[in-house]
Amino acid sequence: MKGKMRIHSIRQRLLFFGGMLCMLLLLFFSFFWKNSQYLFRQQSRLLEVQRTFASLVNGLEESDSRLYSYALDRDDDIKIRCTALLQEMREAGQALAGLLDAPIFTDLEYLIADYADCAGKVLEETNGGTGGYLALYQATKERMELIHKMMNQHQKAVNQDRVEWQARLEATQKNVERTLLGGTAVLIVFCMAFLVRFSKGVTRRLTLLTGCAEKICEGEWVVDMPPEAEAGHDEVWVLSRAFYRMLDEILDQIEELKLKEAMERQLKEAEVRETQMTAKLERAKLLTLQSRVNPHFLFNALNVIGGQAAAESAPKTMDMIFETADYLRYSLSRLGKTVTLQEEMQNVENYLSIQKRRFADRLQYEIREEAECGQIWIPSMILQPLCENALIHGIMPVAQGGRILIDAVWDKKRVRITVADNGTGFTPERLAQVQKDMADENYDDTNGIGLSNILRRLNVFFEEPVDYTIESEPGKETKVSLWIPARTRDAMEEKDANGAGSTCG
Amino acid sequence: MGRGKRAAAAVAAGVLYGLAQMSGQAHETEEKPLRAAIFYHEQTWLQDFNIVHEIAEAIEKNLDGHPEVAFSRYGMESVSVEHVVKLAIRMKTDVLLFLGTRSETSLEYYQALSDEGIRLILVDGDVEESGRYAYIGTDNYGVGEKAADFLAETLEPHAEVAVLAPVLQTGLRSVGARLDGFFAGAEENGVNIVAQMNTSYDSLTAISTVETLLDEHPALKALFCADAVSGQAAADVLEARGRSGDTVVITFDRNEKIENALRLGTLDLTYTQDTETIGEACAQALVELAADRTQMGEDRLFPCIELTAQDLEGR
Repeated sequence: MKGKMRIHSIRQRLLFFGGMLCMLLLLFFSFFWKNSQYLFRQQSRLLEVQRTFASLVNGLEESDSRLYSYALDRDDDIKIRCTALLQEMREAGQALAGLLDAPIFTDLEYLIADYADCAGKVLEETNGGTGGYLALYQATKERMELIHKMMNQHQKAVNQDRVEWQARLEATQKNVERTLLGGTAVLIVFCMAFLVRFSKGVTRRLTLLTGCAEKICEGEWVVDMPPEAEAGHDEVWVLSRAFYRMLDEILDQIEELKLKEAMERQLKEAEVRETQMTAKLERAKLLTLQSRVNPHFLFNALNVIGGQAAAESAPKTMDMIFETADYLRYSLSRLGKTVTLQEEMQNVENYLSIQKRRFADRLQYEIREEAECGQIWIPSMILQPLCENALIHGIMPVAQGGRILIDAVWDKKRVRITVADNGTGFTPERLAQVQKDMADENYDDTNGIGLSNILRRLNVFFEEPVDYTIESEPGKETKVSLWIPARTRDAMEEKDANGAGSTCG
Repeated sequence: MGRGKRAAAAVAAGVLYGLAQMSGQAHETEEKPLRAAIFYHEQTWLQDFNIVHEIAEAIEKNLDGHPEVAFSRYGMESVSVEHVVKLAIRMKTDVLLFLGTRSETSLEYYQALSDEGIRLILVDGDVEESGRYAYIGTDNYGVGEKAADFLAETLEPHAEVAVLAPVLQTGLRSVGARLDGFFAGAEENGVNIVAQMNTSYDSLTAISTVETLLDEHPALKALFCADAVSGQAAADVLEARGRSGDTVVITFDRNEKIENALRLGTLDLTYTQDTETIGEACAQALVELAADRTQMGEDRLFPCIELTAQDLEGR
């Protein structure tokens, strides 16, 4: 099983770089500190050698002079100073041997110590007054001359040492300068290499990711993952991978949605075709029935009856007959056709007028229609079933009757048609049930209020869902509202020319 | 290990190494080095060469890189045994290197050295009575024997041979040993030595001595000269008398005049000391003594280099 991919964190890389940089700086600092200390020490050493050597030469002269003075004056102060000087010479001899590696300076140290010892004996012997100091003084002089000779010889060595060390110091200084330049170059190269690598590894991939995001913002969804995005194995790599994976998934989902939409459209078209077929079938049935009833005969008969009623001075009967004839004519001739809202309203008024004669004072009705609404086209027999529902289910159960209001008003680009009654109204449970049934596409409204059939016809006719509301309050009011798209005759004819047909459910 | 880790490890190791190199003081052993000093005449005398000086330089060269030995060399105006011994004692040196000289008082000073615990290494002349630590130098006795062998091979039987040497005046043990070896070799080979005359390190005296010798011994067939001044004088006198080809001249040491004489045929053979080898041996002895300061000394004798006109061809 493949292990989890190891992530090289950018932070870790920066820390690593910082650590390396610090270590290199520490190395350079140590180098320069060490060399500067070395140069300083050696410069001091050269000065110290010169100073010590000169003090030894002077000390020899000075000590000899003091020995002589002390032999003459026997002054204790001179003795003290001479003793101190001899001690200083001993220390200078030791210091010189320590400063210079050449063994001859160790020899010189011992010779000076020997001289100082001998001179010290001279001081003691002189003070004791034994008179043997002259021989000792002579021996001291002999030693001093020997040391003088050797120091003359050593002067060459001292000078040579100075020249050699001066050359070494200059070489060291040059070496330090070269190392400084080289080290700086190394540091610059190191930093540049890191920055280039870091820029290439991180910034470039971030730029690619940003560019990809910009393309997506501009609507270009199809973006290939560049090969550079696969490099790195750091946080940017994680982000890039997640981003491109997310992008792939979104693209897949978009494709799925498109497919689903196409399938739904095909399904809807199939449903429309099926509905149209059903409508044609019902129309054929109706035509068959119509042919059996022979409506021309019926209308002529009603006209004859109406004429007879007029001859017999029965105007109410005449009106009823003519209204009934108009209603039947509209119902039969406009069945399954498209009519204007004005014609539909007229038919509803005929229907309510007939029912008014039946229910007398128990039925009150009012039709209100804005003038510009009358020319919109709708399927026939849409409003009559709603009025019939209001009459049968709303008004009739109430003993004193009720009032029906039909209202058509312009509402933006649609016409809102409202059929309201102040009859029994729905109980909340019944209203909920009706609304639930309406939401169910498969609901069979054969024995119901017929609203679902009306809506289905409207949806098929307008090829889009028609908005509606059902509002009711028990014992007070029931109001059904439809928002009909405002289609004129021209628009419908254009649609017919495109093959949609003018017939409807 | 990843590439990054390897790089980090390499950089870290480099830095640590650099820091260690910079901060690390060489903690050398603090044991005091063996202090040794050699004294020689600053001047080259009349012979244009200075054997001890050359040996001193060779020692110094061979001790380069041996901090366990602190070697100092002094070219002095005066190198009497007394003076050198006193200096060595005052310097508190551990080893004194000096050319072997025997005089009436020298043994006393050699003893003073021994009393102070200073070891004496003699070069270019051995004095066995000095209580020396070692003699490292030419096998002067051996070279004298070889000279006698050469004459025995070169000369006809009973040919007259004379000896010239400054040895009896200076007390230099190197010359004495040469003579001892020569006499021993001559006796063994039946070389007929008819005269032995002393010279000094003075060319005029040497020339005068050679002329006297040739006057007294006109049939002389060979001259054994124990020093370069005598040898040069013999060559000059024989050339002046037109006897260069008749008389064999053997001498010691080497300088430009001797080389010219060899080329001209006025000198037949010279023995030169191998100062490089002697200096190297001295340095080695000092290093060994520094390593073990209780060890006993060991004499190291080296043969001379024979130089003839043939050896100088092409130079």
